[in-house]
Amino acid sequence: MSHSSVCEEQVFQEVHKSHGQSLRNFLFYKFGDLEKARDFAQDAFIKLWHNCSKVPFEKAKSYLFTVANRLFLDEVDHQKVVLKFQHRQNLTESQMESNPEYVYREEEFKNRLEEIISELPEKQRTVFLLSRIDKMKNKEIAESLDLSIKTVEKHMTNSLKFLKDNLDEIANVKI
Amino acid sequence: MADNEKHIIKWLNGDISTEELRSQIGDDALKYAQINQEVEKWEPIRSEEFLTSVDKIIQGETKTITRSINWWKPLSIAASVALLLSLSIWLWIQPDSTTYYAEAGETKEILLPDGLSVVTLASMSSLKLDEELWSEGNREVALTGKALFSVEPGNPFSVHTKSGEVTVLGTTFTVDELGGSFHVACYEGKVRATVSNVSQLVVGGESYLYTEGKWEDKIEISLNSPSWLNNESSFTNAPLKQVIETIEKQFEVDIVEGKTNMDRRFTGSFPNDDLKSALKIVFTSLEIEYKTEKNEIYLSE
Repeated sequence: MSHSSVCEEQVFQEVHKSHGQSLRNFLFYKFGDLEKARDFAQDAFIKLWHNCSKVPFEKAKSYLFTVANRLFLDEVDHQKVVLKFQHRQNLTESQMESNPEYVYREEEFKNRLEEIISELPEKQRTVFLLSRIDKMKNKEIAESLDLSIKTVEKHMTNSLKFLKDNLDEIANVKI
Repeated sequence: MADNEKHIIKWLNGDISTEELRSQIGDDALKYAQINQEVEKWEPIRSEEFLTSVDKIIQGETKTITRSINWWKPLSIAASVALLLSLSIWLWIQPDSTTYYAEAGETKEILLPDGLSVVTLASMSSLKLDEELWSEGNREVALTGKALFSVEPGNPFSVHTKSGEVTVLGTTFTVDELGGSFHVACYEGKVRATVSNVSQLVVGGESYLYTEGKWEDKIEISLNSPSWLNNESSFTNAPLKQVIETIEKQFEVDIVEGKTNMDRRFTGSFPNDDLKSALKIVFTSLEIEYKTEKNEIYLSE
């Protein structure tokens, strides 16, 4: 009856290949410690493997995110996060092109943006970064985090507005 | 205000350009674009160093969680992590490799480095190869999606996918790995398809499907080339998941399965340039109801 069982090695490998990185990043966006994020994500995969017969293939993704989230809630004190990023090495040409219509001055822009993103409320921040960095579609984010697509959209627009307003404020103070 | 949000969401989803957004909400669009362009380029610092690994899990090495372990399970299957997987993963991470990609709704023909063999990629499929390997006489490619291969006789030719691999000498065949299943159709000559160490010989005029852990009975093919080259997609007793993924890739839509029973099979063809007909043909014949909302299609029984 069931088509792809997570207990099959290849299926499990495939699940890992498609969700491993975004799951780890999800935890990183939450608390800003990449090594710990990796460990929790690893634990979530271990749980999935041990419960593979109970988790249908279609539910594997939301199972992973739910478990990882619970591990995170159990262990991490909610403290202020400081997120730092680097530029990906394998940027496509269109991503490397700089936009001649930049509004904000480019110097220090990345640092300011990192600071403000760290200040975003946690849910908004994780949704926004999963969408932009991990290129997850709204539907995927909704399924993974057990939200409605409407809520995901709301988090996305609110995040953008928050970032813009704060960047504007800094720009004004500077002038 | 709420109107603005609608436009911003469309823009975030890539449905409208920054210029269009700007004409709707003004110069704030440029600010959003600058923010977006920056964040899109990011990854966590030292991203490549802290990766999860499932090999250890499958081999039974658990680091942190010790509760509820079924030791027999990882042990019993550990031995069968085939060379196949390591080889295809290795091919995927090759730094010097070239990747070809067919955009949504188009097919792409690629002349391979041996100067004779040709691959036709189906919509939104990609092919990766390492030219240095080819110059040494190793004709190997990694495929994601679906493609038609016309291989000139010579050194062995291998196609690796996430699901399985195909090795041939010289022939014409297609490989389709959508939806977690693996479909190989051979139009000329002979190919050997392997999934999890189980091989299936496919000769001209035959096709085989690997799904749910086994090779199914052969299905004869009557055409000289795959139907998707003639701008239609055709299926014979194909898993619904494979059909749905084909529609999603061909028309760039999302299909939300909901509680639909995915164990169904579909036999039939739909045109590759008409989403409405495709949906009608597939879902009406399977008695699945569907509702279209922008780029999303919701299924219900």
